[in-house]
Amino acid sequence: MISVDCISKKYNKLLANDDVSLYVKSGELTVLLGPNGAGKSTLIKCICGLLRFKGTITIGGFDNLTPDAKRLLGYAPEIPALYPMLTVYEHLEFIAKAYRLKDWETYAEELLVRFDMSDKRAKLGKELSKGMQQKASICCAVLPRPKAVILDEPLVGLDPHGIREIKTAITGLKQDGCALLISTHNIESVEEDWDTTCIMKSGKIAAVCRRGEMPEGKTLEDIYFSIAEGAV
Amino acid sequence: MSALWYIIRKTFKNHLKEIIRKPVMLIFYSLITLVLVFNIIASTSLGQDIKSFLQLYWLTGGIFAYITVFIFLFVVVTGTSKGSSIFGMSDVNLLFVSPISPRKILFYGVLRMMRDSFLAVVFVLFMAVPFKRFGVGYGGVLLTFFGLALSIVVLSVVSLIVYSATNGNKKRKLVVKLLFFAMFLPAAVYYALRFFETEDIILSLGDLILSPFILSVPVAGWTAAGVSAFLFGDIVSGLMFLGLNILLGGGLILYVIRSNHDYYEDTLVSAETTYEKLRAVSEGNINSLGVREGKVKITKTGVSGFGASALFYKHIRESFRENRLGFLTVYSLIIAGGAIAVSYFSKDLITVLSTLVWFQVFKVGMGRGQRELFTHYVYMIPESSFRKILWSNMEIMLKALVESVLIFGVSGIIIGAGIGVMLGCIAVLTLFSLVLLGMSFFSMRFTGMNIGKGILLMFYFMALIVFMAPGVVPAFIIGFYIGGVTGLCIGLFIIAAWELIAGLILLALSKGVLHRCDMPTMKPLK
Repeated sequence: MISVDCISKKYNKLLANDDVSLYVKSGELTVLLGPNGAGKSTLIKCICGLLRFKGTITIGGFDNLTPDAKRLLGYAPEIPALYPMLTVYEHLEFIAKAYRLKDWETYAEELLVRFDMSDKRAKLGKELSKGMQQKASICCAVLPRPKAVILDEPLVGLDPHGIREIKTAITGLKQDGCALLISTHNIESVEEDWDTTCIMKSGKIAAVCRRGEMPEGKTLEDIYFSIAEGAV
Repeated sequence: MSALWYIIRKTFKNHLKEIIRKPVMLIFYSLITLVLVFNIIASTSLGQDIKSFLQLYWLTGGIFAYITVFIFLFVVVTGTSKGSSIFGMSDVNLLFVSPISPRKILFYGVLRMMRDSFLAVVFVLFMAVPFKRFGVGYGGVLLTFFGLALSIVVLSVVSLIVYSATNGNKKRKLVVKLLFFAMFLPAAVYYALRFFETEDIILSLGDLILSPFILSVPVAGWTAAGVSAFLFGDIVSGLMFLGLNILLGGGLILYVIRSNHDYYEDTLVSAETTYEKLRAVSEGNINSLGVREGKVKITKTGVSGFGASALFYKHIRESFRENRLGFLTVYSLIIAGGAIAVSYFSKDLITVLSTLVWFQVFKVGMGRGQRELFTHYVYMIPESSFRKILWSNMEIMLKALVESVLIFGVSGIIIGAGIGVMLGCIAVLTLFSLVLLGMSFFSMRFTGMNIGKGILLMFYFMALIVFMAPGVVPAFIIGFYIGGVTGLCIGLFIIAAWELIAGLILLALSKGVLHRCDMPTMKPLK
């Protein structure tokens, strides 16, 4: 569903992504794991069409910059950028109108219930806590029922209750057949659901681990630290 | 104290190093210095132009109005809500917990505040030419600069004490607000009485400046009276009035020091609020900037539109919710009021128009459509890039139209300008926004936003001059050739027509801009 082929991204002289390739299948969760500055957010922004890059990215077979690809893709950034003067429900309404969705109201209500935000529907973006903003941002990302969802550090700054809700939502999306790409620098946060983990370092994918194909006696954490601390 | 001097010294040194290391900053500061020198030279080449002392009243009135705005912001808004912004977050985290005496830290804070105050009024130094037109030389410019800076330092300390005295107490906050209005009451009543008697705005203002009622407004009245006394050559009165400010500021600082006042808490909320806003902006949430504080009453809800047009209807909802006047803001009303007043006295719409086009540069840059570029939604909506750009900037265009109609409609009727000139001015100012928007996207499209902001700004202004020239030059030539009001009207409509063409060409050249640039991030200076 998400196909990234030989992506390179430069910021002036800094090579933030260096010839990166990955593929995320429908119903699979791929994790981008890496320390701060590894190039995870840059790669995600390239996939979402927010940055220019060299290489090819397709979503469901469509070039990622086309409206067809955008219709299939949902994205929640690391810093939830809500509109301060719109209510939570108006955020959903805006997305529904902008994406030309039909009969979206029932699903919007479902999302608000699932994320425990029904009582916050009339709250303005500026009145929400960081955790609430993050959840509203994810609701906006999944409202168009995208076939691929990208979440950049979705659990940062959330309380345990919020973390559990988002983890449940991730499991639900995966079960619905969504291709999921999630970036994190917290291994424990994705330990239960991941199918593939791409460990990034210095703009490159240093290792690809697949569940069930892990080396005998090695955990994801062992591999991550061996890479992050320079042994690989 | 050595630790505090170390911070001051190092901060200054590092700032200088940064200027030297970054060529764009060096160019920027060199240009600023050049403009300043040019200003001084240009002002000295102009002849002394005192027609009457009445001209000085305008200057004094301007100083009075400027400080009044600051009194309102510092005392009523900041003082009764979040306290003085005397310290930064790094001071809170590192100095407040250190074993340095709070009095010394306060002294350091006042020094910091003085630096910021000078920056808030630095624009006065560049006003040598307009001052000269009021018959005031560069000495008067410097005097005004120091007078304004001093008053802002005093107001920052007042704000600190007001916050301390009213924190968590609604009644006291109300008292402060009532006192604020009461301060202006004698001066306002006197001015109104004089106006009814003389029916002359300027003469009444002059009477007010010379009257003792101006002294009922601390800081603003004292500074205005002090500066104008100096300009009139009355040194004793000048020293006395400006001395009142120094006495008030010094007395309040002494009070804070002597009373062992715990000012840490009083400055904390403001430092944290400012820090949080800057952090949110630097992390990509530009929408946190300039958000209206306090409770917002929600009456109408919902977002209309379909596809890209949803962006426009969202902006309308946000604008009307943020501000009851919708397309007009308090800021735009102040500008409109000033512009109408200037055209009333100058009996000329073109001077106002040529000034307002520069304001437009900043207004368009701060529009919701431009801010939208800093968040991901506009990039990810599955619509064509052109449609998204068009709809997301529709609101700022309508805003420009409403403001232009207000300014030139009212001014034109007051001074009896012809309908053609009024419509021409409205068209030129409104369509200039289209050129600015086109230029902005053209710059983005061809630089990819992957260059320094200084170079981007230079590219923007150079391209703007190049694109405007083919319309402005023939408009001037034809306008002058025909002459009179008809020539003026034709000239204005030629510029407006060119703006429409240039704006559309620029937008067409920027096709696909959202796919050909990096989503920009905002890096605040502090």
